Amino acid sequence: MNINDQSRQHASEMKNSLDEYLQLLRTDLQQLDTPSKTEQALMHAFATQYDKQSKTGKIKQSRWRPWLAGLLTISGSLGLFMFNVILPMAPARMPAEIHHAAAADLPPFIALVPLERLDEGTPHMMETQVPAAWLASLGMPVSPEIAGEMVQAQMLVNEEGSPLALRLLKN
Amino acid sequence: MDTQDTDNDLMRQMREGKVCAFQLLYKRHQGAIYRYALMRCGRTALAADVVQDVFMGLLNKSFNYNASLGSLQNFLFGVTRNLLLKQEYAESRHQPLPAYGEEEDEVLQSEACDLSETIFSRQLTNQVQQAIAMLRPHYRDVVILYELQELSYAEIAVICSIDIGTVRSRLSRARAAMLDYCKKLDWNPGSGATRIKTGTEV
Repeated sequence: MNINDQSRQHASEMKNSLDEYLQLLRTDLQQLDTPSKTEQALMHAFATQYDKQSKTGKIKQSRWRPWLAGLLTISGSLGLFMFNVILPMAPARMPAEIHHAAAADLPPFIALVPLERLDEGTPHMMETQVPAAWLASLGMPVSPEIAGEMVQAQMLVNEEGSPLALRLLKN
Repeated sequence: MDTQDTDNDLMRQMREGKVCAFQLLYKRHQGAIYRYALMRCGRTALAADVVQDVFMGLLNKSFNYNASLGSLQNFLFGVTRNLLLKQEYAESRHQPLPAYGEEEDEVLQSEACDLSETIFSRQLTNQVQQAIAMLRPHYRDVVILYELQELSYAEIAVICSIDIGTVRSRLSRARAAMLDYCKKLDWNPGSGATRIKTGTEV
């Protein structure tokens, strides 16, 4: 065996030996693990982080709660208002003109019949013109200058059309 | 259910706040990550810190893991490598410059020659550990990942962000450098390995 063969064989042995050493090192390394304190630190960090997240979520929820309560209160109040005030005032029962007139300050109705009769049945309101002289006959102050004229008035009539109460509208 | 699916399931459960999922992920991957970091840097404390940083990043979503781009383990290897590189860069800023002509002596040898002294000591494989520690970091990476972690060329290429040809050449040069190092120190790995294998030197 010449020198070249010997050196080639030696190199081959070295390579094989290196592989064997690496194999041994690999086996040795398999026994190594991270120190347990690292795991403890990580688990603590995990608990802290998710505790913080849940607290943040709760804070976000509590921030919304007053707004939500206020919104619900407002919407409830609005609903009650619509149910009790706006809905009973059906357009059929309250013409636009009357509604407009009702918005202004109007004089009270003057009863034309005894009060007991006013409570009977459901009165209807109608707008009409009556002679000023007729108003004078009811005891209302009417200027003699307009005695012959017609004046605008609102009248409550029963189901038969008989007048129950009357009030004058401002011109 | 294969490993990939299980890791993804555990990741999802972990993000839902299940501590047992995080614990299982940690137990599954910590060993390989720690061993890689330890062989890479040679310091147990730093390796443990790096493992902690890797899993902390996974926990607080500092690292954006995309399951479609590869396995979680390879992703963690990549993160570990980046953290170690960052650490080395920070340390290199405080090291003195090499004297004139020193760099030409050993192309593959690391400038941090005291790694072999600080690396954990185990009698059986101390020599090969020293030989690995003497390599420059980018050669050490491929040796550790290929020889000790038994990853494929393709996986190493992804982890180290290099192509497969570079992985092959680095591995080849690293092995040659390790053998050269053994020769220089007049080691006789053949006889030692044989004795270890037969159990006469334990």
